[in-house]
Amino acid sequence: MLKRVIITSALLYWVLVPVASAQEVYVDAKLSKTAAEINQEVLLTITITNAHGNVQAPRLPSFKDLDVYYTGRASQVTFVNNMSSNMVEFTYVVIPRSAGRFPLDNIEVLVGNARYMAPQLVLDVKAGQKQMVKVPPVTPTAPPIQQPKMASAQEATPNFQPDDDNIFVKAWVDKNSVYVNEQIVLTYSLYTRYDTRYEGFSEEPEMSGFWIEEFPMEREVQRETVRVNNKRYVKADIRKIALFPTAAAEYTIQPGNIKASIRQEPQNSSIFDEFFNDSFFSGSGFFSRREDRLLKPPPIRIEVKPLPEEGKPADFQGAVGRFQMVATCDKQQIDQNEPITVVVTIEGQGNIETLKQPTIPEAQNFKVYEANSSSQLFKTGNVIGGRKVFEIVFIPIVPGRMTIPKLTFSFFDPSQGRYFTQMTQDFQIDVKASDKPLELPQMLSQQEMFKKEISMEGKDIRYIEERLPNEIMQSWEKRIYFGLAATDVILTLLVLFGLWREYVRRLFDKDVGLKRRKMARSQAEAKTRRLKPLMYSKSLNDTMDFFEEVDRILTQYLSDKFNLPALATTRDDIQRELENTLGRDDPLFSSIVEVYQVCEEARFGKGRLEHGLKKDVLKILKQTIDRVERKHH
Amino acid sequence: MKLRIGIVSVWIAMAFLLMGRSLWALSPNDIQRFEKANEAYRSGHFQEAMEDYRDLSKKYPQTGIFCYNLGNSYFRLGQIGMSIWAYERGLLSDPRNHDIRSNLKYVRSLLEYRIDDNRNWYLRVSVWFLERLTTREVKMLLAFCYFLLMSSWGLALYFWRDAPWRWKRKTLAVLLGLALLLFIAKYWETRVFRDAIVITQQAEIRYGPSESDQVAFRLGEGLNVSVVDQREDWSRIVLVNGEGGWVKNDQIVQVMS
Repeated sequence: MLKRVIITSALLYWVLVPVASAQEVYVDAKLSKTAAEINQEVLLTITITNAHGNVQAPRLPSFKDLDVYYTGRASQVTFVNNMSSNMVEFTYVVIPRSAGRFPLDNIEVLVGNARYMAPQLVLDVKAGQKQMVKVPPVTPTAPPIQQPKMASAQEATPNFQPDDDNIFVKAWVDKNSVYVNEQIVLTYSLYTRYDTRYEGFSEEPEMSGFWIEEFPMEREVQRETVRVNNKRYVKADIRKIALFPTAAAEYTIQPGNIKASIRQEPQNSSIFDEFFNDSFFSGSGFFSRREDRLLKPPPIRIEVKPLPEEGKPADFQGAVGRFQMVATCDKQQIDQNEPITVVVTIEGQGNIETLKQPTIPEAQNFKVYEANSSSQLFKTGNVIGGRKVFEIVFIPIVPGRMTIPKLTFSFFDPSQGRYFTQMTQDFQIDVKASDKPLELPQMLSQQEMFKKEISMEGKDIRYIEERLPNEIMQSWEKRIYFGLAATDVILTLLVLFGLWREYVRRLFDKDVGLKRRKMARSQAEAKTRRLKPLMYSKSLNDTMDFFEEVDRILTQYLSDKFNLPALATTRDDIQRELENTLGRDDPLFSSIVEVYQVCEEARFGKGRLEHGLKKDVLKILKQTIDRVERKHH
Repeated sequence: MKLRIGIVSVWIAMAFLLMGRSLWALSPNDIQRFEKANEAYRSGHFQEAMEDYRDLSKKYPQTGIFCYNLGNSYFRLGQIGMSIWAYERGLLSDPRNHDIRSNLKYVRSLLEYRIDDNRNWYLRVSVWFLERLTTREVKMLLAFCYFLLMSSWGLALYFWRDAPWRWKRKTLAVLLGLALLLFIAKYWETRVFRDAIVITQQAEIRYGPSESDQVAFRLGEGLNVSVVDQREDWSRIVLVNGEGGWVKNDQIVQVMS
């Protein structure tokens, strides 16, 4: 089955496609009349039939004494007996400027990449009544909503002399004298006799002092043929802006610079088929030589009048236009301290965004809060309008039958030149007594809108400080600082001392003999100091103990100093070491020997010795230590 | 022995702490002078107020409000440069004082000239941070970190002889290192680049320290410069936009002078 479908499709393709493609491109041209008078309008129509692909507007050569204006394009596709055919028609207006016989030849049509020539035509022009030709607009723009009357007189002729009068932009306003906040429409119209492509604003307009709303432009910009200073132009409105002046003054709007790209070849015809289309990607647009033009319309002066003081309502907050106000209330019965919302809608024509909330009068027994506001803008034709909705929350603080006070809204209608005031209706509500405490709805309590903003009114230096700083704080800061510094010094010394001690300890741990030598003196002196009580005692036992202790101190010191074993050291060992150190002839040597003898006598004599000997022995002991220390250094 | 060392240390530290009162207290005469200056300012005698505030600020350089009030008096007398100098000086001892900063900002906004700050962002951030600390605060921080490390070390030496060099003491050592860096940076900021203010209506900055050297550019009153070198009558300055030159000493006044 599938196989049969594929075969049938292939056959159909091979049969039908050649038939369709065999249809040849046919270019025809005709004039609405072959004979005309000077300045009389003649319609030239160029028809291209069976064109497949991109069809460019025919390029007309320049004809002497003939003005040619492009006026539009139409296309048509027909299906007859499964055969399609299409036709594209380009129309031009030809206006002869002198009498004679004018051949219209060399009209070239580009279809895809192929070039075709239109048949030659001849126009006979007779001298006749010279009259101005009135050309109706090709595609007049119908106003979508009720439009205010535009000051067409202002746009009819440009009031400035452009550098190249074949292309210029005119920026014009519908009104030159308005009230504050009254709408003005600023329109940019491009007039051209070239094949032109609009490329946007290279410099935006300078419109300080105005609230600005831009009108959206249609994708396909409307264009029309107009006559200015006896010349025909294609005119297109390229930008439209609504302006609302914010203060009364004389303003000058600098309209900025508009960029346009034109095809350079001089020709009387204007090819606008590419206007606002992306002709950059079309064949001729890409390859043809184009030139950029910066078009600068002249500045516009606008007089903004202040709003009249006469009849200005007290609650007027600057709304200008035509508005209507409607209000609704969401409840009629509520509890005390419960919120009720009044929704106020203001709609109409004017600057909706700047509308302020209607004035809320003093409402006794109510707490009133401004909640949300939202706006919707409509931009249609030449009118800015829309609606703005305000939500106002009322919280009754006492029970009973209450009336929400009327809200008023005033505006100035510039078309009538006077003020109007609108008022909401009374809303009657029943408020039931309730113990519920007053609490703001969450949506309100989260909003910052209830807080007034602080605005600076002037600037100066802050005042001098007349109070002295806290003395206690300052003095304590210093105390802490100096205390900390002193503590740091002490700690440093302690740490250094600790480190030295640690070093010595480690050294002594490695060499016990060194430790004994180094410690011998201090230990001996410490023990000697402890002898004082025994020295002054007169008891026999104490005397015996004194000499025994002296013997022990001396032996301990000398054995430590000479690194002899502490327990197994005999007196002979000591004498031998002393002989080596002091020499046998040294009087101290004999004194030490004598000290030992005295000590022995004391031990054996049970302390029966002369009391004065103690001093001598102690003296010899100290001398011995000093001498040995000196010798060892 | 250990106990004795501890007791002696505590006594010495206490002695320093108690000594503090005599280091700051304002004499009754000075208090009276301060009130007199306030009264003079209130009654619009700004010259008189300025003189009293100036003397007090010289005598008590660590009290920012004297400089603040002095700055206000200078401003009222129309001496913008000196006013900025006084505020800058006040910030040295009270760098987070909102009133001083606010007035300084306002007075600077009135200056005719401005200098674009072309320094790197990290330099700007560092200076911003350092300007918010007094030299004493930085020293205190350093002393405190040192105290922590030394206490910990001392305890280890005397009481826990075999305590290892653990992460707590390492962290303290790192903190001390950071505090030391901060101290060096502060020293650099205040002593190496010494802030100064232009006090004449227009100061000529020359390429060399003499009148014969060519003028490089001119500075308006109140602008901040940094003094990096000094000769007898001339100071070498640099600006935050990288430009520099020599200016006569009588056209600027150093903030720390």
